[in-house]
Amino acid sequence: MADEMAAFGEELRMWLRQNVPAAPDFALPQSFLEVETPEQFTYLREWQRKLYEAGYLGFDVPEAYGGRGVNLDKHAIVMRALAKARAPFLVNTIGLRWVIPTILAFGTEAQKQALVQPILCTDHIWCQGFSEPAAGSDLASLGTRAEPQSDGGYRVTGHKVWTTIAHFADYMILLARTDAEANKYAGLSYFLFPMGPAQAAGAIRIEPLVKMSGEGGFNQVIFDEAPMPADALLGKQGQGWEVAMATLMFERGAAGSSGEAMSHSAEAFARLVTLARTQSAHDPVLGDALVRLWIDVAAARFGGQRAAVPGLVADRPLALRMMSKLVVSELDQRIAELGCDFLGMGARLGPDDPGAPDAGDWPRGFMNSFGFTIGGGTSEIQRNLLAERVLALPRSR
Amino acid sequence: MTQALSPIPSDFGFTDDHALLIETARRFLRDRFGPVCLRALYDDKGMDGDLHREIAALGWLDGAALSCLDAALLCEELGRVLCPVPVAACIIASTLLTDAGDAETAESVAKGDLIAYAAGDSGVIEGAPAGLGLLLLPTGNGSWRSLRVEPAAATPETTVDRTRDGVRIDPAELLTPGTTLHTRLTSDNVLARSLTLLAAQSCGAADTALTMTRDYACERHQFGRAIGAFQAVSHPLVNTLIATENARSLTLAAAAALDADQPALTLARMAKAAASQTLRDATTRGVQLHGGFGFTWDCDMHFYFRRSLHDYPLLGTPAQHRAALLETLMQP
Repeated sequence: MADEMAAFGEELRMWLRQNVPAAPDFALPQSFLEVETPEQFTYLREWQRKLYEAGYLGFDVPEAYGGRGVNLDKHAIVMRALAKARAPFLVNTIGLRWVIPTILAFGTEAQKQALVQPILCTDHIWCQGFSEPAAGSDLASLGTRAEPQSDGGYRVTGHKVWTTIAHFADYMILLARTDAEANKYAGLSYFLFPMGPAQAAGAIRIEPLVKMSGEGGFNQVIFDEAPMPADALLGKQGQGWEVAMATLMFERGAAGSSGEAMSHSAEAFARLVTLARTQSAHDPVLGDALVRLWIDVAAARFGGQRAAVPGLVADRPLALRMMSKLVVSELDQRIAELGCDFLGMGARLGPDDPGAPDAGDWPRGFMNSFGFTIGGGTSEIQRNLLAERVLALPRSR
Repeated sequence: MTQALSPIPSDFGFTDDHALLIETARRFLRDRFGPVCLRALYDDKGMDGDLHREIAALGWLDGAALSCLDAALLCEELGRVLCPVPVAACIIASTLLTDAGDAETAESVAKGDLIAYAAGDSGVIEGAPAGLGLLLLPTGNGSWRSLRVEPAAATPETTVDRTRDGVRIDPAELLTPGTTLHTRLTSDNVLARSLTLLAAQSCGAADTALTMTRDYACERHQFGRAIGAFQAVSHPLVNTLIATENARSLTLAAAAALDADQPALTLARMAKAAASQTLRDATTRGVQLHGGFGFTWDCDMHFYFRRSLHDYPLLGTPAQHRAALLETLMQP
């Protein structure tokens, strides 16, 4: 079995050497969270499609739905190899990492047949409509309404925010209130919302938001009686909170070993080491901070591996999986910050300055790192969840 | 890439036998060296029976029969209760003696008749186990000097950690001629084993400190609720949880690398640095979060705090290991 994996890895690495596209003449976003222009989108979409057609995407998806059959070892090999080869990231990440597992867990056979494979080949791009201006950490208090209609469909009215890639998306996983009388959790339903018809009817407006780095990538989405078909419902009406919690678990790396995020951090750390070596005066304080990071990056990597061995997590089976998003996002932030510190005055120069070290990636990365420590459940909320679910401490609210 | 770490099996080499080992060790130690025994040791009431021989009878001092993962998991359990028996030292010494072909002396150590210690170098040794009978000193290139220790040559150390009272020895003052041993085990390998087993004990101890504090935070009520509901209490506990899990992952990875015959010193240094710092932070937060009670002799937390004081500098402080790691990382 080990030989089979080694051969697969070698074959993949060779394919990547020949097929990873050349860097384009426009700036690429640093992650799927910052895809802004049509040319960025097209370049990245073509890459993901190519990877899928070559047979390297979908090792976490059954063949019946367009995947390669579930083989988590191969999936991990692919994620690591992509990171090492510095291949472009997967533009349909929301679709791949949070939508597919949710549909596979809760969808009807018809929904699985219709919607999973197009995510893999990028025919359908997905965004996530959960957070609202008044409902972020307190997601359950959200107000967007999906009003049931007599024909079984719905009309959606409300306001979603931080909607990454909505401007290129075909579908949205939408959490909305179908019953205003029920208690706040029981009144929610989860939908696989096709955006095309609503856009054609002028019933949704997608307005770009600008991040602190000056980049785009996310939006607010305003719904005004947007039509939604009956078969958009995932699970049962009123089951929305349960389904949404599952999506959040997938997002936070509970499904599998969040190998992609970890590989990305390992690569970022490798770039930091390269940077550190170019500094002629080896500052012992910075050097010590670098080693502290090395230790924590190694711990996270072996933690991901240990999480898959039940006997080695017997006392706290949930801990490693539940802490992975928190740990990786904070590692990424520290890596970017230390990179800026190694640069000294060079950290003041961003992508706008042609002489910026590493094209301004370090200060830009440090700014963008907050997208990850704040989005997908803030670090503060993650700590609350770990306190409640792993340490069984009493709730703070 | 110098930052590449030794590959280890995806399952760390863990089997059902290990699960049984952990359960057996945990149950045995809970009965034979629980919190009451620990406190009795500190209150100078001594210990019942001969725990060293009982542990030997279970086969837990036999380096020839235990893998590094076995030893690390055992040491974690020993660390949980602050067991005073020098298990790690005896395991490593008996491994070394067996590898050198001195099966007789190795058996002596494994049976609990002889306490042995493999030092890091030939200089003055501090923090060696009490009752030390045999010292193993590295002389380079897989050679070791095996020296019997006369009781008079070992100066007793009374440390703040009564479970670690041991001896200081200057090898230059030993009168015995000693014998020379040859092993395949390099001094780096032996150091890696020592660091890994020390880290394992710190992980176990940190876990107890965490659990104790967590339990207290659920019991202690102020302002009409359990204090664990306040984020100023729960968030530091979560940070301890994260650090403990991280240190554990590194320690088990180091043990797995040793069992896979891979270079393990880098991982072992990481494990020791992380575990020592984790135990320090777990116990400082542990005292603080136990409030007024935590500041008294009567709260068990200070026993773990004292273990941290003892083990933090043992075999190198975290900062010293990080300095060595930096050299490794910066190699061209």
